Amino acid sequence: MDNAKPKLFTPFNVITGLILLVGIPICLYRFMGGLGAVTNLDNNNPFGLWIAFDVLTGVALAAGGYTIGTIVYIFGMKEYHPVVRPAILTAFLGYFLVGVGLAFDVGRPWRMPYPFFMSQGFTSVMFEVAACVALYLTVLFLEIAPVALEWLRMKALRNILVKATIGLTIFGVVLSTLHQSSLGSMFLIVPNKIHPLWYSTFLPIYFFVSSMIAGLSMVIFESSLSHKAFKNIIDAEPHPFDHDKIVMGLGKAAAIVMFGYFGIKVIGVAHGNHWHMLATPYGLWFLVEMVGFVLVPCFLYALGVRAGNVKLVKFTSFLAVFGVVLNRFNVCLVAFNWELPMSERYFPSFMEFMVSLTLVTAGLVAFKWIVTRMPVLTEHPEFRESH
Amino acid sequence: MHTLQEFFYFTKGTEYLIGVLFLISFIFFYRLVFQAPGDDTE
Repeated sequence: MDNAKPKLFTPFNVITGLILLVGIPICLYRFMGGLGAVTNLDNNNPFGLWIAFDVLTGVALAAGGYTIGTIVYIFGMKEYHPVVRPAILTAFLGYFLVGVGLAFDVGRPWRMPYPFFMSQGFTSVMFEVAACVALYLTVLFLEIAPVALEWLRMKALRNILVKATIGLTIFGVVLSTLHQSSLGSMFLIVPNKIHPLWYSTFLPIYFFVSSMIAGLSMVIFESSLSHKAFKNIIDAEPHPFDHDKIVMGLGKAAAIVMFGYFGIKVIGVAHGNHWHMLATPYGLWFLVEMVGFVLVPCFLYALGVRAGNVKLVKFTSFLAVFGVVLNRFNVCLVAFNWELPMSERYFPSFMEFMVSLTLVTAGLVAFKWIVTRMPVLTEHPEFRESH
Repeated sequence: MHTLQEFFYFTKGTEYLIGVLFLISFIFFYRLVFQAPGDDTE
């Protein structure tokens, strides 16, 4: 698409190159030396950074795929069509990295196909998560495949997949509803390990509703960054779309969902009668999460939409995304094993950080590689009328 | 039943109260977001 010869030593290439240079040997070391050589995990702390960030956060932030898919293909709001492909690509790469991150985290990754072929464990929430994530990754692959097929000019196969879009979207929503909530259900087996303010029998609902916030906010955040980073590609499009209008619409939806999420979280505190815990250090941290990264962004979205302030809505999307990340970290790491003495608590090692950073960097490189070559942010001239 | 707090806890009174307050505040919030000046979505 871009005929100018690309520069090799751009700031993006240098930084990602350095991260990969340090990270890839550590990734290899994890598989040669095992979990003990690289992580600070132990029998008390089986869930570490890779579960909190790579899996829980990764799945939540990839929710843009099903939220935007639903908005466009099921609700029929075609004005959001320009952000469908970037959202689905982000979701596909996100889920792919969830799978890779899980391969790093499980003790014997070569046994990952076991739940499907050897021992199903139908009563396990983890089986449900594994099955849904694997199936949804396949669905996302089929949803994003037309982009590659247009690039390769394989029209017949591309047309078959485009016809299946609505079916795939519905299947994707069903799978997402199941596994987004099941990641919360997974923590229902440890009621005595999670701080009561974060533990609730409503955890599956909290995880599912907050994934919608993450999905909507991530699409605003990611599309705003893409618009800056790939301005030359988007400006070359003969019929540019109104990105600000899309941002405002998504901001509206995110504000409403956040308000509902805050409401059900308060009802959760009342349900457990944990009001007195709000005055403890953990309680104050809970309030930071709930007020600072749910209620404040909720009203900032509302004010941004009301005042027509696109910059405020874009900034708020970052706060909202951070809020969901914070929630997953709180449930999985901060509030987990809260009664253990500090000496027995878990803190990720440098190598764990590097593996997560390497996976994110690999995702960014893949996103950039695909977006600069394939019709993701723009429409392929030969298929312009057929979407 | 010893305290008002226990009364509210065992009768789920607090949850109902919060639920009602939430629904009322949601109406105002909805108006704040969806009936912004110059909004033509309604």
